[in-house]
Amino acid sequence: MEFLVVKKSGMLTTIQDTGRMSYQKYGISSCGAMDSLSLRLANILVGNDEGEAAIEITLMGPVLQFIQDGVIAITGANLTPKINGKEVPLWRSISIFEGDVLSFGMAKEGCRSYLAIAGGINVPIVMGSRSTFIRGDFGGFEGRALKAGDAISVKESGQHLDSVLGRVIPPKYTPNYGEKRKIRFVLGPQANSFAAEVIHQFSSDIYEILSESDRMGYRLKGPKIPHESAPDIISDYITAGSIQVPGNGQPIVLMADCQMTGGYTKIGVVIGVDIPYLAQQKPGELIQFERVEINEAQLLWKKQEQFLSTIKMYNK
Amino acid sequence: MSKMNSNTIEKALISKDTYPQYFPLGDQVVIVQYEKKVSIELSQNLLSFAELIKDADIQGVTQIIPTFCSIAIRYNPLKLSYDEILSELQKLNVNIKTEKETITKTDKIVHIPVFYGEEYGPDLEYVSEKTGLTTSELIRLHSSNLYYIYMLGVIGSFPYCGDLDKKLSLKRRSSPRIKIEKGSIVIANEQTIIVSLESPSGWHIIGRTPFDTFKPEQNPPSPFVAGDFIKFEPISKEVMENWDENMQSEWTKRWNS
Repeated sequence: MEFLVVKKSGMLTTIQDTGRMSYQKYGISSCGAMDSLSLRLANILVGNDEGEAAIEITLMGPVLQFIQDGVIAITGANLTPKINGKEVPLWRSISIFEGDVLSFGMAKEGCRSYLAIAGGINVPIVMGSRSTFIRGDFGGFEGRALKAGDAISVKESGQHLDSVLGRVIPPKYTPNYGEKRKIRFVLGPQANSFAAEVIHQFSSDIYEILSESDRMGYRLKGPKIPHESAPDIISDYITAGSIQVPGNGQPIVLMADCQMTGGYTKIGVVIGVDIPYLAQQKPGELIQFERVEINEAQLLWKKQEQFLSTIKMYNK
Repeated sequence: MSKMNSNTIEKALISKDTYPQYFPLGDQVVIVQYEKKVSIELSQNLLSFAELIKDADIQGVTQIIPTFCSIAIRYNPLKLSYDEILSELQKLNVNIKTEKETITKTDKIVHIPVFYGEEYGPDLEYVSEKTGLTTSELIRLHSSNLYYIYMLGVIGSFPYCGDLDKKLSLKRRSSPRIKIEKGSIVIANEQTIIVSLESPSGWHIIGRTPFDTFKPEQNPPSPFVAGDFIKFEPISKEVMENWDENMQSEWTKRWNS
């Protein structure tokens, strides 16, 4: 069932779900939402399974026209969403009607918005996921970013749409992407390639997110991180959050579309709960890292998942 | 190092030079690190351990991904903590040592048709010049070896084969190409790869296969896994240029089934 038509593409508008994790052993990039927490919350708000495909919207949003009545939710960055020119709130389910036009304005806070639609976006599943992988030319909508003229279909919702209306994530529970805070990491498998003082220094230095940053990785600029041994390793597994340090000493944090193997030393890995926050930081912004232990990282992940269970329970 | 008070590093130091070693790669992946070298024997040992982990069916383990000299294991931290998965893996590793698990070899050979040189292998002449070998010697050397696949990687099942004849070993190009065609057969150092998806590369392109080694819509998407072997079979330009779905399935029937 065709549900909406793209009138203007926006900067980078793609269909994403929680990624193709189960195909990593075949050498496939995982892809998926950069901020998977916001994606999952958006789905819960419209009564979908939390891993359904939604639309990821980057900085300059698209113009979309609905050709059916339905229910949507917008989460993640506040890119000033408007329906028929009138600003609408994030983090809640919203009724829309045939002919309504969704557009976006200024990027007030964060970098990526998620638009979930009751039913979930209907594109073919490729290797276990509906996520777009532009580099590979597969997944999502014809393996590419959305452009003007594309008509997007949704699946039939298993819920009565009336029952999902009024769903909301209360402000005190919504992620705060405008807040300035450190990005936590655990030591990486090649932390031994760096002197203890260097790792300590890495946590107190400030890094700028460069404009070359994208869905594959965030390139950072700051004080050089010197290696104690060679910067190159025999290629091994890498995953979103990995902080690679190539020979030039400038770190790269890998993101959702990263390759699944790489040959640079990894000083650390951004913890699971902080990847969405990092994904909402824009080029030009300054970030700082903070080291935590693995058990703390896992405890924080558990808390996040408990929070999601609670939200789901209240929205059944 | 001791100043850092890091469990991780201390654990690694205690077991320094004894393998495998274990490291977290974030809060949802553990790395089982073997000795840092490229060797078929080591890779086969590693794959045996990967198989053992799979058979153990540890609750919460979601993916087992072998690479050259490590295994990455993705797991759900809600089901088991880092310490818990570590102890499960260590238990299994003790078993593999005491039981002297026999190495599992697949012995599967995937034959890949290749047209070498001309517009499909723009670096063949350069490689010939640098190595002092004629192009026909190059082709003979590259296509006579049976290549072991150490891992599938990059973005779309690129098979990483090592053990390229040392006579063919060249450093990567100083300026990588922004884009090389799907199917390109490339070499650098002592490795050879099939570039399964159009991508940037600094390796030397010596030929191209018309055989589609990566089909996202198929399960599994590629005809090989780590531990299999690849044999390149030279083909004529005519075969290369007239390749179609029929020839793909004929070839698969004849060589790869």
